[in-house]
Order: sequence, then C-alpha cells, then structure tokens
Amino acid sequence: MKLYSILSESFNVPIDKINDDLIIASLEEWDSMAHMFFITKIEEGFGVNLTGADIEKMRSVKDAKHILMENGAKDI
Amino acid sequence: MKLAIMQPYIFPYIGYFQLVNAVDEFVLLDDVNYINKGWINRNRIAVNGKEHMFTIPLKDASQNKLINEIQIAQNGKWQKKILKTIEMTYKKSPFFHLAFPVIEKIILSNEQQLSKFLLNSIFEVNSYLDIKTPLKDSSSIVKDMNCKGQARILDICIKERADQYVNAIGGAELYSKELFSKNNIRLHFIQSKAIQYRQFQNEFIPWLSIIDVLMFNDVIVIKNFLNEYELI
Repeated sequence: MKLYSILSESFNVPIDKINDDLIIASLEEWDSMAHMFFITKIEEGFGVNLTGADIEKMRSVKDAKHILMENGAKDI
Repeated sequence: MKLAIMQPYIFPYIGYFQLVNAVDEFVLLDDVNYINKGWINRNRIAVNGKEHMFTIPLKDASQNKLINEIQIAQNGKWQKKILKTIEMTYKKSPFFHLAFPVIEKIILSNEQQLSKFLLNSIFEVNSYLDIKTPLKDSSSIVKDMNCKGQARILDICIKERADQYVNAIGGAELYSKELFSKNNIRLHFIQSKAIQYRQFQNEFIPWLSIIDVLMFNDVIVIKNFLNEYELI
C-alpha cells in the first residue's frame, strides 16, 4: 500500500507497525520535520495539493486515506 | 510576546526559518530525546536533479539520549566530504559565492556538542538572512520534571511570558487551543505556502534544505519567501 510505504519512509518505521488506526503523531519517531517530509511525499506521490485544513485533520492513517480520497488520489 | 519551540535541526527547510522569523523568541528543544534517522542531523539537497541526503555523523547516538547529550563524530573526514558534495553540486548556482562561505563556516565549526553545533548553524543562517529573532535552548529554562509533550510546551510558554505560541502545522492535533487559551496564550499554526524557484534545469524539488534556497536565491528574495505562510 503506497501510503503505508510513504509513512514507513517518512517516520523510519517498519511497515508492519502501520495500520489504519495508527495515530501518526504517536509514533516515537514523529517530529515536525518528519511530518513535513511525510506531507511532501504524499503530495508528490499522489499528485495532490493539501491545504492547511487538510493537514490539521490528518490525525490517523485512516484520516490520511480519507483526505487523500477527497483530493482525488488513487491507489492509496 | 510571540514564541515558537522546535527541536534544532541541521540546515532545515525554509519553513523552519519562516517560523523563526515569525516570532519574537525561538526556543530550541535541546533537552528532548534524539530521533534516529530523523532530521536532527540530516537533510536533503539535490544532486544532479535527485534528492540526496547528507548526514552529520554522531558518536554513540541513541534515542535514549537527549539531543544535548550527543557528540558529533570527530574523525576529521565528514566535514570535507559534506563540503565537497555541496561545492560540486552547487558551484555553478548563482549565489554560491555568497552562500558557500556561510555553510563552510558552520560545517568547520569545532563545536562537538550536537545541540550547540545546531544552534550555531541556525544562528549563522539567521545572520545571513538578517533574521533577528533571539534563540534560546530549552535546557536553559527551569524545567518542571513532570511536564511532557503539550504540558512542557505550555510550561515553557508561561515561563517565557508568551501570549502567543506558534507551532508547525504538522503538530496541530497535539495541541488544544482551549488549554492554551485558559492560560491566556493564543495558539497558532504556521502553514507554509508553496515556494518555487529556479534550481538547475531539472524538475523542481520542493522543500529541500535551506542550503538549496541559499544557493539559488538572493537574500532579498529569500526574505520574501520568509513571509510566504499563513498563520491558522
């Protein structure tokens, strides 16, 4: 799953630690810079432009999927 | 007084400096845990049109240590290697002659303590960009040992007498506007607008290290970039 791969790369976590219910900021490896990198990579990877409101709402992996779908992303 | 608090990072992206420039005081969280393979001691430049990670090597770094407990590796080689990579990559960029001496001065610093090295690097880039925001280490602020996360941030804001706190947008769900408001502090999040400039002939790679921004833009243009954000 592409989103899981991007999360794994951005926060340096194994893919098997990622699931839809994961709260992104709860990751031990989370910090603001890693989050910025994550946002950059999902924008590039899915060809979307996220707004500040989108980023604020992105608490969990499920939220990220939902916001990507709202922005027209495919093959999440 | 408007305050921001962030971990120190090596040559972070322009958004970090937007935040520094947007506030009256910037506190560097040097007494929090180091993150392995995070962004504290590494960042990206573009080499031949592709992302390239450069890393400041550390000595016995661990997520069980605080940032200010970590030393930079002193093998004498990494400085030359990083500077050579930057020089070869950017020597034909329009502002290399101005930016490279700043970067060289930072990299060749003899400072061995990681957090001091990083504070110095941010200070030097600030000076180059004429950003006057004072920097302070969180370890110099009396610490309530019971405070973590949002509570720690709030504690620092209160001790520094901030009435506004600005955080990066990525941390929005960690902080409660209501809790800050109860302590008479307005909470904002900074959202950088898309910034684009001419790199070499390749497709633009966004949000690289400030090194890339410095090499391709003069200070006046970068100062305009520093204002390209929204406060939410």
